[in-house]
Amino acid sequence: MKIIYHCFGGSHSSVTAAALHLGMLNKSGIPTNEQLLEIPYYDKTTDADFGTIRYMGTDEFGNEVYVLGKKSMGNRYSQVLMGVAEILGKRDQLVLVNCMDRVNWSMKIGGFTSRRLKLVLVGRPVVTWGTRQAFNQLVNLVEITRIKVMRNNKNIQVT
Amino acid sequence: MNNKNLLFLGTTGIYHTLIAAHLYVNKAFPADFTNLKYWGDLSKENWGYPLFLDQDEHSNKIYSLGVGLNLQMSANSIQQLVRILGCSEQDLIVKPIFIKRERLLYFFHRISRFKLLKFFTLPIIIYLLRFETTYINQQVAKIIN
Repeated sequence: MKIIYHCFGGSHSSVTAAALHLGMLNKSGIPTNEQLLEIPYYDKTTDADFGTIRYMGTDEFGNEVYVLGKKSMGNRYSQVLMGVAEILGKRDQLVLVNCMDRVNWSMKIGGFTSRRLKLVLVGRPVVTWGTRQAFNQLVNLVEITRIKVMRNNKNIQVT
Repeated sequence: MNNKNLLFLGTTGIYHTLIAAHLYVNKAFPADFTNLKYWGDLSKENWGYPLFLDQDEHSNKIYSLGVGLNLQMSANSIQQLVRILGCSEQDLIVKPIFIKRERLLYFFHRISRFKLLKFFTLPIIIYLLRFETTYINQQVAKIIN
C-alpha cells in the first residue's frame, strides 16, 4: 500500500505523522526540538515542494509512506487523488491521511513565519513548540491509520 | 494497444475543460455550452472525483477535473501519483487547460454556490468563455497533434 500523509505545506504535521508511522519518533514521549529537526523535511521545505509527493520510508509491513503539501485545498484533495487512483484501478492500494485537523494555531503561525516569511529564527521555535503540543493528537491519527491499514480496509481516507 | 485515460484539468471541471473535451472528441465547438454534460453542475464539482465524459474514436476515456487555482501544483501531484501507483504516464495523460481569465472565472464559479447568484453568474461565465475559445482551441490542437 501507498500511504500519503498530507497537510498545508508538507513540512510539519504530515512529516511528523509520517516519522511516527515509520518509527523515527518514539510515540511514548514528547520529542525534543532537536529530535523534531532531525526528521527529514521537517521545517525544511520551500515553495517548490508544494504538490510534490515525497517518499519518507517503508514501514515494517512493506507499506510505502509519503508526505504531501497541498496548500489550502482541504479534504477535497483526498477525493481528487483517490479519484485518480480509481481511474487507474488502484484505489485499494492508496491510503490518504489528512493531518490538518490535528494542526494547532502555533503550528500554523510558526510554520507560516518560518516557511513563507522565511523568518526561521522566529518561526521555528513556535512551530516546534506547536508540534510538541499537537504530538499526542498526531500519535492518535497515526495509530488509527496503522490499525486501519493492518485490517486492510479498502479506500481509506482518514481525517 | 491499451486504452488510455485522458484527464482535462482546469481551475473548474465543469466549464472550460468540458468545452476542451468536447472539442477533442467531436472536433468542433459545442453549439450551446449549456448542453454539455455536467455543465455548471456544482454538486459533481464539489464531489472532487474526475468526471467521466466520453470516449474518443480510439476508445480512450476522457475525464474532466477542477482543482482550483493551484492548477500546475495539482497536475504535478497527479502525474507523480500515477508513477507511485506503478502506472506509466500513458495510462493517465494529464492535460491542464488554461484560460486567460482564470481568476475571474474561478471567482464567478465560487459565488455560484449561492443559488440566487447562480442565476446571474452562469450567463457571465458563458460570456467570459466566448473570449477564450481560440485559446482553448490552440491547446486542444496541440493535444491532438
